[in-house]
Parts: sequence; C-alpha cells; structure tokens
Amino acid sequence: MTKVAKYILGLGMAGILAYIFLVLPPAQGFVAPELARIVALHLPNAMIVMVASFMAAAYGFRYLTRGRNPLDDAKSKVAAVLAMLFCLLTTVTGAFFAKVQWGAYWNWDPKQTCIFFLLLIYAAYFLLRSGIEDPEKRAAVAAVYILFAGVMTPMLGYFVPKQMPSLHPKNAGFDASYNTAIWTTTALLLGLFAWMQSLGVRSERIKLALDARDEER
Amino acid sequence: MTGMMPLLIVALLIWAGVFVFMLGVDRKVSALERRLGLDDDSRRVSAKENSL
Amino acid sequence: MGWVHEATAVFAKEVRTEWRTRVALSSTVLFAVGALTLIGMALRVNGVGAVGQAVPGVLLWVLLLFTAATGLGRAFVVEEERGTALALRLTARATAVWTGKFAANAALLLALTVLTTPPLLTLFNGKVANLSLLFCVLILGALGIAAVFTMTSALVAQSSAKGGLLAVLSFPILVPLLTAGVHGTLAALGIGNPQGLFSAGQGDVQILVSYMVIAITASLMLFDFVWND
Repeated sequence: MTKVAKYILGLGMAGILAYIFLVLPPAQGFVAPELARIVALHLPNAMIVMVASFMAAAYGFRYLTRGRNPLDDAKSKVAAVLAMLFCLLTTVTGAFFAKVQWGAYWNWDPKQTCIFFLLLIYAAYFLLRSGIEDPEKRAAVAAVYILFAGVMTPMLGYFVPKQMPSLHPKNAGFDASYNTAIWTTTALLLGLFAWMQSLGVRSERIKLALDARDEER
Repeated sequence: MTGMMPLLIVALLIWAGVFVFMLGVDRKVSALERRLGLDDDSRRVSAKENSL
Repeated sequence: MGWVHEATAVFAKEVRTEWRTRVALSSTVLFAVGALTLIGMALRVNGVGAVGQAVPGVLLWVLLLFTAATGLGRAFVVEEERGTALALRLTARATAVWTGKFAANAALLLALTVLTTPPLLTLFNGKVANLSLLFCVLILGALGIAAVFTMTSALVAQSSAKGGLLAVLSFPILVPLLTAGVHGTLAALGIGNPQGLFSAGQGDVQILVSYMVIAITASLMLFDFVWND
C-alpha cells in the first residue's frame, strides 16, 4: 500500500469519526437518538466481516484446487484472523447499541447470536489448525472446514434471522447523511482491511521464507 | 452535540493508536523483507542486473 | 465396483465392526439413559408443572446433540488408530467412503431418536399435537446432525486434539438446524404458535430439508480433499 494511501486512510478515518460524532444528526425514533449514531460504526464492521469471510473461503478454495500453494493457505488464514477481529468489533459496537436501546448488552436477538456463532466458528478454525502438525494437512483440513462452514453459514446469517422475530430495526429513522457516513466508513474500513491483509500475508511470506531457509541448513 | 466531544476524542485516540501501530508493523515487515531479499524492489533490481 | 456397491460395503463394514465391540452404541445408549434419568430425577424433585412447556422439545434436541457428539465422533479416528485407513482409501472412492460412514452414523442417530423420544415425552406428559410433523422434524434433524458430524469427525481425525474439538467445530455450524428443529418440534407439540400447526412447522421442515441437502452435498464435494492427499 502506498504511503499516500496510508495517510489518506489515517486522515480519512479521523475525518469520518469527527463527522459521525459531531455532524451527523441524532437518529430519529430511537431511545437515545444521540448515541444511536454508533450504528454508523456498527454496520460497516459487519460488512467487512462478510468481505473477510468470503476471502478466507475463496483462498481456501484456491488452495485446494490450484496446486496447494502454501501462500494461498497463508492468505486464507490471515483473512480468517481479520474476519474474527471485525466480528468482535461488530459484536462490541452492536452490544453498546443494544445497551442504549434495549437496556441490555445481550438480548439473544437472532442476528446478534448469529454473528457470535460466526466468531465461534473462527475460534474453532484456529483451534483446528493448532492441532495439526503437518503443514500440508493442516492447510487442507483448515480449507475444507472454512469452506464447509462457509457453505452452511449463509443459512445462519440469512434464513434463520428471517424466520425469527428480531430486535434489529428495519427501516429506522435515518436520513441521507447516515448513508454517506456508513458508506464512507465502509470504504475506509475496506482500506484498513486491505492494509491489514497485506501486512499479514507479507509476514506469513517471511515466515515461510525463514522456514525454507532453516530447512536448507 | 458538544456532548459527543468526549466520545469523539476517545474514538480518535483509539484510531490514532491503531494507525501508529499499523505503521510500526509495516516498517518492521518492510525491514525484514529487505533483509531477506523478498521485497519487490530488490528483486526487480537484481532481475535487471541479471538480464544485463 | 460400482459406487453404490462401495458405499454399501463401507456401511456394512461400519455396522459389522461396530457390532463386534459395540463401543459407540453402548456409550451413546448409556449417555442417553443417563441423561434421561437425570432429567426424570430433577423433575421428580421439582414437579413437572415447575418446568416450562417448551422444555421437553428443547431437551430432546440437547439430548440428540450430545448423544451425537459422544457416539459419532470416533468414526474416522478409529480408522487412523487401527491403521485401516489406507485399506479403505484403496478399496473405495472418497464419496463412497463418506456416504457409507454417513449412513452408519445416521442409522445410529435415528435409532437413538426413536428410542429416546417416547420416554422423554412421557416424562413430561407431553402431548403431541402433530405426530407426522414431529417425525419429519426429528428425522430430518437427525440426518442433518449425522451429516455434519461425519464431516467434522473426518477433519478432527487429522488433528491431535480430538475430543472436545469435535463439539466446538460442529456446534456453530449446527445452529440453523437446531433453531429450525426446536421451533418445528415445539410446533409439533402444540406450543408457541396460535395459527395452524402444520403451517408453522412447514417453514422449519423446509429449512431442515435444505440444510440436510446442503450439508450432504458440501460434504461429498469437500471430503475428497481431506481423504486423499
């Protein structure tokens, strides 16, 4: 990522945070309209989770079908770490909103619970990885698990919440400025995600190179 | 609206921390890459030198 | 050998080897009996009335889930331990192996469902409002659980941290199935939906069917990658 891009990201994020907290009008129809603006931080995080999850599964698929390149496995793993991180952020921002709006951090709301289960899946993914010594087997098993979970979880994120009554607001009192805030934040977070992903993959590449070097000796 | 200022300051501090941390990691990773000869610039240079 | 022949052979081998030692069978039956007894005792102490209406339906699924985790987890580990994995890889193709194992696991779980549901319901004086719906939901649910566990046990068999890992891997994936299953069971027991009972359960049956189909398809497609290296 170029230096310019990084500084745009840094300043841009500072800017949008100021916008969210100072300029954005309080959301109508909520218990605490002032604090409901955290939604502008909550939704973009959730979208990054989707992006990261997709990438983790896609790189896993690549690993299995394009010649078992260890770099693909590394990319998948890094994306999974980031998916878990953003999942955590989504849950936390959501919990703050829940506390303000409904009085409790946790409500067993279907969407809330589903994103939590996604977190569990990633935790299980890393647990699975840590139990396998052979790197090739580890990569294959991890890829299969993330693909298997990836296929089953759209049901988690879509069908189940649709069936059940949810606390999540549907068409809330947001005006157009919220849309700007949300989409700008999403774009900036995507930049952050891309930066983190690239750093992670580069570290993994270094690790692989060091391992190869050790083996040569 | 000014009630939001403290929250904004906290958010900005958190972001500043994250950003600085990321820059630090970036620097370290680049340094390691340079040492191992993994970075694209040195590879491109050496490829050029080889083709000459 | 044809694919069906291979799968049936794997299934027959599973049944036969299991019947010789009856380890999985006895541990699952013991677990189910133990759990049922615990529940019965707790009820006797507190009285059935003290327990909410939805409890028997929920407990049924908890029982199914933990029984599966106890009994189905060993499927592939045993192969690795006994060294028969190679023979299996040579004689049957990957999808046939998975299907055979799945069939064996499904049979075990279905048998257990049939065995544990009547006692559990009578413990709670549960009245079944819609028996066919209950059948549908339980059978589809058992099949879905068996499919997921067959797949995850194949993954866990490669790892050194076996026992608890199976549950950790499978439970989050099973959430949609459990939600639909419990909801459908409650509908079948006549709780929770004032409107027409079968229409309430229908959505759940649809979810359970699609879940099962997706789980089986995904397993068949992915299993080869871990089985043959």
